[in-house]
Amino acid sequence: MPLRRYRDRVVNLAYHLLRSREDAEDTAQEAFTQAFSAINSFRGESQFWTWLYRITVNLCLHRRRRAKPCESLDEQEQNDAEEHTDAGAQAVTKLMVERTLDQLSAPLRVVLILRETHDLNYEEIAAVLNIPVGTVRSRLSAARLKFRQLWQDAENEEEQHR
Amino acid sequence: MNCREMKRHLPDYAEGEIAAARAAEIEAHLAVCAACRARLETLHGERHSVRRALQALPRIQASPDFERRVLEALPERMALPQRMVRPLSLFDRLDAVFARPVCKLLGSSVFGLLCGLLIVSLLAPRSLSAGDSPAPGDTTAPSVLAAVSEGTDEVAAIRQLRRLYALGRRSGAAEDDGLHWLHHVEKVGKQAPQEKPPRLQSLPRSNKKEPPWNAGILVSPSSSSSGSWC
Repeated sequence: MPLRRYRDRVVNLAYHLLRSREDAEDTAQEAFTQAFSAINSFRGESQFWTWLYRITVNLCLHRRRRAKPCESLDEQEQNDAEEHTDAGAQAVTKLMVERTLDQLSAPLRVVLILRETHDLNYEEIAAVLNIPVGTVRSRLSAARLKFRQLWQDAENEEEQHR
Repeated sequence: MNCREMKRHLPDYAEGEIAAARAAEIEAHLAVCAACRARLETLHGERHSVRRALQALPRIQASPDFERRVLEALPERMALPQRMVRPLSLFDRLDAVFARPVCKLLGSSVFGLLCGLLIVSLLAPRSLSAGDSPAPGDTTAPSVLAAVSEGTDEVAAIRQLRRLYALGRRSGAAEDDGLHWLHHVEKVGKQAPQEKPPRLQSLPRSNKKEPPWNAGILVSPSSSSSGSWC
């Protein structure tokens, strides 16, 4: 039940945080394995999926930290090349979004992804990240502001290249 | 509500993260204040521009062998006992029933009587022959399936599984059946009436609070903070 119900969501969360399908699958698999094997430590005070999401986010952040910056960049470019078979505006937009997200700090990036691509509300994000709702609100506001600024810069840069 | 208060509450209102009573006050003010309406429109525009951009991120599906890989990795992490796949004994059932808070009081009053039953049940044969193990695809298989089907939500199922797990460990049975355990968990998931495919594609957010995904699967709009399931 938990595995089938949440597998795509967890894989997508990892994918949006890591940008590599292979890394996302590995991380999601590890998250499920950790969650199930530690089921006795799940006290039921939070919802199971928020616990699972927290494990996933922590694993993703750990994985990103562990990756060397130059390797990470190379891998990302390779992934971009592999996944951008649909050339065109959509692919360009995806690249711009990913690069803009990469320029956000990890706390801002995570909160923005949980909110805008996974549709979690403030309280759910707070539960996943184990932070107060007020912190979610301020991080989200800062993340949006920063994202819009960076997005504007990216659009201007794109215009200049044309 | 005045414009100063509106400035403080409008961002949450634009996010759909505000209590109904407060939302009503805001809407009353918006009906008569053009400046605040303009501010709200700006907030909506800013929010939707970011949201629209992020929607460009692709959604992927787990690979077909994802479950298999998790199931294969699990036995190394958690050794589950063989008796997890046998039918629930009277002992198991009584133990599960009396774990519920409402039954604890009643249970204590008849504890002496039940002790006799439990002892008899504990002395009953517990192990299964190989032929009794649930075959793959056998959705009527007992034990974990039976335990979970009695629960009404996922948390209850997890708790019940944990109790069974603890029972199995106490009995010192062979610890080699993690796969069977999870197969059963998955079968129950298939049968769960509230199960629906996840809604991966986000819909535009209204001012009303929405569940993170399909309402009714995980959290109801009003129960996200209460930890309610289904």
